[in-house]
Amino acid sequence: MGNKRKASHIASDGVSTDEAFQPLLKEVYKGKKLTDKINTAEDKWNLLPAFLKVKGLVKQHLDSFNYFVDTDLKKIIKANELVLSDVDPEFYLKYLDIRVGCKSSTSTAKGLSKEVNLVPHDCRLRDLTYSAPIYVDVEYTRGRKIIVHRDLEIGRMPIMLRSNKCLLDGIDDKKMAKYDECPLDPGGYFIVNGTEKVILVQEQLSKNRIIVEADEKKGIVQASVTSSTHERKSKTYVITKNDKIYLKHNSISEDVPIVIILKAAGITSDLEILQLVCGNDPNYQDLFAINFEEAAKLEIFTQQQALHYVGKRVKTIRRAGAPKLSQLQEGIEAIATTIIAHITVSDLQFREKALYIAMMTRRVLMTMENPKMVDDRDYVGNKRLELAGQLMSLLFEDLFKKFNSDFKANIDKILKKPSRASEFDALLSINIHSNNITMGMNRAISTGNWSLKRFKMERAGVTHVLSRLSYISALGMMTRISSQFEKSRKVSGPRALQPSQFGMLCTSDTPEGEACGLVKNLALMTHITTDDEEEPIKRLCFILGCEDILEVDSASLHAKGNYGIYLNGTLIGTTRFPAKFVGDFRNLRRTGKISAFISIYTNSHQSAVHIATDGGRICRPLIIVDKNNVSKVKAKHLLKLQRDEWAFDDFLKHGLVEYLDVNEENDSLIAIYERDLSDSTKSNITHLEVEPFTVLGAVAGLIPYPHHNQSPRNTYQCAMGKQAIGAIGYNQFRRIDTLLYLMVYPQQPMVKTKTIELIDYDKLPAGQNATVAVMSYSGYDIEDALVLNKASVDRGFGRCQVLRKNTITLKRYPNHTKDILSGMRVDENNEPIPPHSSLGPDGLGEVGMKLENGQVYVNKCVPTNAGETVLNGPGANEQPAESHRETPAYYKGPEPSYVDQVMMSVSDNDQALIKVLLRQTRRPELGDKFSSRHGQKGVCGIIVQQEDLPFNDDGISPDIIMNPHGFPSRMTVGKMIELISGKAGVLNGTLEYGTCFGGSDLQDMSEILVQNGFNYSGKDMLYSGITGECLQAYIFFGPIYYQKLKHMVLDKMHARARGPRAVLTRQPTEGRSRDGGLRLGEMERDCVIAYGASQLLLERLMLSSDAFEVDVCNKCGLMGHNNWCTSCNSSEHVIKMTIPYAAKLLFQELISMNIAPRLRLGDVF
Amino acid sequence: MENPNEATLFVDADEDHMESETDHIISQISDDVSSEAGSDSGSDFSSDPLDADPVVQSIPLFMNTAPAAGQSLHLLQYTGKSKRSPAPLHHLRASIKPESNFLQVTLPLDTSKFYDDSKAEEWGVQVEEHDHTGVMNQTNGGIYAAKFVVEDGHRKVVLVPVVSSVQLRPSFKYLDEAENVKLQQKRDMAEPPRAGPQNVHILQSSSKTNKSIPSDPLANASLGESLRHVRRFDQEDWKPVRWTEATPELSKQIINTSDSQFITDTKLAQYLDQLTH
Repeated sequence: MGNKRKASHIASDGVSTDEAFQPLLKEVYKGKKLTDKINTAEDKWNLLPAFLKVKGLVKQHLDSFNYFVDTDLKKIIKANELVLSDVDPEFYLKYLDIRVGCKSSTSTAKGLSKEVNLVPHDCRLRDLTYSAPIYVDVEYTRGRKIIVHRDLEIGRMPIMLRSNKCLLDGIDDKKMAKYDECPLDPGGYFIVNGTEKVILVQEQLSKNRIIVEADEKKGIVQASVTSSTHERKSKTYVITKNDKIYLKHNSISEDVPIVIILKAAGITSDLEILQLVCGNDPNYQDLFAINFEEAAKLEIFTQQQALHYVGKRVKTIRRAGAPKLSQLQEGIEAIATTIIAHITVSDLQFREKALYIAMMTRRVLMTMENPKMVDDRDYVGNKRLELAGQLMSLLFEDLFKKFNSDFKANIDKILKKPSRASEFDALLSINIHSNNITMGMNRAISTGNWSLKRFKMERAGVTHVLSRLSYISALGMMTRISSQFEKSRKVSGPRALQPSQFGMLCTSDTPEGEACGLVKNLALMTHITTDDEEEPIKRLCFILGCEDILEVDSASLHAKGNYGIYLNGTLIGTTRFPAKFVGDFRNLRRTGKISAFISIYTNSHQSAVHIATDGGRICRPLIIVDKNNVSKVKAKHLLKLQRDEWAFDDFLKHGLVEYLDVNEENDSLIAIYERDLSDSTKSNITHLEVEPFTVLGAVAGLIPYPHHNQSPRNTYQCAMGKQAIGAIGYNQFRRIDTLLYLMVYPQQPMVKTKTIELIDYDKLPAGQNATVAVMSYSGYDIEDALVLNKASVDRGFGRCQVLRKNTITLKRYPNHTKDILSGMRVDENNEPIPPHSSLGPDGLGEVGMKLENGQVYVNKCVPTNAGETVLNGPGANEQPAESHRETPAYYKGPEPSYVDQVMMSVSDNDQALIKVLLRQTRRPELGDKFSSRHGQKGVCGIIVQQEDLPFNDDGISPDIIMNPHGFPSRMTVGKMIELISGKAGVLNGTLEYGTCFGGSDLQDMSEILVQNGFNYSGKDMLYSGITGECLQAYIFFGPIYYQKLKHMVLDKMHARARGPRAVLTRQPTEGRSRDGGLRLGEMERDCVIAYGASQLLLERLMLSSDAFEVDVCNKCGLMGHNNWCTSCNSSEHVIKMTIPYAAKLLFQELISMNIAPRLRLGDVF
Repeated sequence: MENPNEATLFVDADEDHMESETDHIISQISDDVSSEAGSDSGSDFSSDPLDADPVVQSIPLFMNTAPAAGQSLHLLQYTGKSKRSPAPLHHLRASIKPESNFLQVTLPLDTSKFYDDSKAEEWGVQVEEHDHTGVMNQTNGGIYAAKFVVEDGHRKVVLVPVVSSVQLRPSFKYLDEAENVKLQQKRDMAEPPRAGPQNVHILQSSSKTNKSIPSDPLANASLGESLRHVRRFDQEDWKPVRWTEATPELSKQIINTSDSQFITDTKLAQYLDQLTH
């Protein structure tokens, strides 16, 4: 183990290539020799590191972004390829190709084709955007000539780190170090204006699929489909109303009877409608028959009549200039493009659309007959995840359309001019707008406001600043999934743990409180699909025996044994042999003929075979089990993997492993362990899990023995693991972040898990192994408080550094004056004056200098005449004598800081940018928060001298004493086992595993303890440090990994005797940052009243707050001033009294509203 | 066959099932005939080594085309017609709009049964025939008419590619016409008092249309795609299609002139690659 860690340091001087994989080449790796016999049942877990090696933890973001820049951009260009002019019919401009970050000449030559502006870390430091140019090839007319122009830059695209357009893609650790980049940093985020921004994964209901819901109380059944195309997004409903079925759509003013809609779509015969909707089922026919009456009553028989009926009810929103349509045309337009917009109609062939509506109606009927046929909105298979690439693509298309329409307007303006001197070159006007795309992308990512004109979509909070509190918090953020669901609604369904989440979304990692269950995290072994081409799959289906829906007649559509084949929710054909069809399809997928991420499954309730190629589905790899219940992955395959001959993709290619999405999982029987395969009662097992612990995500994977814990405790730990202070990256000392917490001596945990190794938490840990005694001590340990050992604290336990960034810009002003730095001021002895003592001669704080409260770290000076304009009278061309006023940056804080780094650079608008990083080193103190990895947090209650602490036979005294009352109600058995395993590991010189559903066996651990002369249960005999006597009980004693959380007393402590007041109310300000007071609130006031302490009340609420002396006129009751009543024009009845300023303010505000509050004063006694 | 470019429809008396609605004799083999050379069409995938469905027998396949140049085979499906009721083979008239792929077949109406004479009186039109219309879907070579032929003890399957399939539905043109007449009458009744102001409207609109004439294609572009289809459809003229009765010679011609037997050339793996790329 030891050599493994050493080899992984980038500082090692070896000449090897990829050092992270060095340990794999060692003879002994993770306790196994290469020559050891392979046990498939246990070693199949090696597929997991292989998977993570190809996919990584944030692969979903990278895949999605890569797909966007490589494929989606080209599609967008294709869809908007022509720019035509209204003025000159001859003119056209056509986009031929688009590339990001590489010119056409270099695109073919592999290698150095990444044209990013700077190294990512420089962008972070200099507050710039990490981006690459977007090049297009265009073809356009200039006069009579057609000109092809290549590599026209239309803007810059922010680049996702570690994507294939990023500089960091595929480089080794050494290069990474050269670029000041941490090799363990997962990437997947953007750097915009110097801040790291993540586009969180968004969860939403799948598009273009029918969802059937029922409200049993109201007796309403509705089938809805959200159609989403590049141009529009609309929702179509088929609903029941009084047992009759209607179609509802936003752009149709009233609900249209379903029969009329079907007739409008060309199904004029009632018989055919009945066949399409009900098939031969008499129950459905009875339920549906009533709908024919309505159409007959309205005397609608033909398609034309129906179209008129629909056209009359269309809400027309016409763009200016568009021709007015007749009723019939409106009807056709509604049927063809508005309703169920994702199905396109050509050649007046409405049949596909009619079938879709009929299918929706059928689903409604099925639910009316059997209420169990509803769909579950919360089922993961009905959800799609929207990733960075998709969101960027929506944004880009919007900006690109805007770009084109601006461009077109510009061309038209020029072409309109009748006489032009020279031939018009369109490219001259295209560059004018090139900032639009760049700025639009930048703004959206940096603010998180996604506003898309064409969908009328306004979404806020799409992006977040990447949390760099610790390595794990950054990782946790990259795997986070946020839901579109409203947080305030009180429904439990969307928050509940769904069985279909198994293996896809982490079962433990969700926040507590309002976002509970709405924010989720990906499990360890998941993949999110990107869009795949539909057309080849459609062709393949027809070849595999699917009958084209356009040739299937209505009567046999729902015949018994006939299965519909749905491609992405749209019926494309039928088959009579679904099992064979699905089998053949799967075989093709397993042989790699079609993409591994296309899913197929049968739904026997709906007699349907569903094929999905769309993006955003969650899927995960599983080992295929053959018909004889034998796993396809054999020892020889794993051997190849171990020898590095095979990668994960080889397992896919050879059909040993396949990806299943949630829907297809429903079609399979998955064994968890290999031993389950031999169970003769389950003969139809189709798949085998790679590793059961992959149900948990990266953050929950840190917990040792989580399967022994009460489940909420694991959830608590997931929240706290992200707050733990630790190492954040190998480049942590090169970073200048707003706020950075670093642990001074982080340790890898004694009891680790396989997940810890996989995500490299052991290389960037956040915590220390503390020797814990579970006992009561001193009474300062109540309510989960911890007793710390002072000697341990002295030796560095829980010590952390806090680094805070301060940015100062030196501005330039329009009148050519600018901010400057001035050196320190000195007193008569030529010593710097105390506030300037840490400044250097350049006016910047010197690295390593101590800064006390009120001291200056940057002595900036602002010109006094910055506001004046240059064009100022006769003396304008003389340089005004520069006079500056000092506006230094003061350090403020209860504890001194030290200057850690000073950076001076130039931001993109040529202004000097100074960043000063200030450092504090903090040792634990009373009130600092600690937590173990089992959701058991506690604050430090007392720090005790080591000599007063109990010690065992070996003289070891604990670092932490924890009160045993923490156990019974929390039921964190995992923590106890961690202690035993950790203790055994210490004695044995090994790191033990606490992997979920596995890990080191408790019995083995106890044996090690016994072998080393300890009690099997982990209890030791301790001696009191105070009396030296043996304690009356055996104490549970051993190492537990403890995390120091970011909540520290120093950041929170606050008191105020006097201080600033709010201007308006003259009451003390609120909040620590404003040096505010502590509020005696409503409830506290009630207590004081109940107690009868009226003078205290007076003092707290007025005298110490906002007492104000007013002159009240006892005659008119209004307030005057200076002993004078302005309304009575006398000073006769004016009385001075003290009231709260807020009350006086209220009176005046009332007066301003024409309400006169009058004070009537009387004697108290 | 007045027009060589025009498709001719023929109906084979023997192959009644070709038009019957429930029975398909469509075997789907490939979308690319030239690359496909599977000698065992149906069991092509059962010969997949991954599958345990053994080949029982191989039957030679013969490919044929429509008997004469300019002719092609089309599948007509009469929706709503029961399988048992006889095919309406006589007194048929058909016309086509080839640009819009639109076929119209006029059938005589059985006025003897379920015929409401009073309705006819009400409308003032004697409806004696009704139209069935449908859009012709190009099959892109995916569908074949197949016949299993036993010739001197040798069995063979003859395939003729079907160019398109049409589902014919009643269009009830007479209802629309009757309604249009009614509407026109209503409009005529309501119109005279408002004749004055409407004239002004006409003037305005005519001046507008004058402007838009030079950029006619652009005016089209502002219409939705489906409305452009409608416009194209409305502008196109009906072209008559000759309806030939199927003769035994014709059917024999189709079956026998085939001499090109398919021989498998493509390997399964090659074929699969071709399919999926």
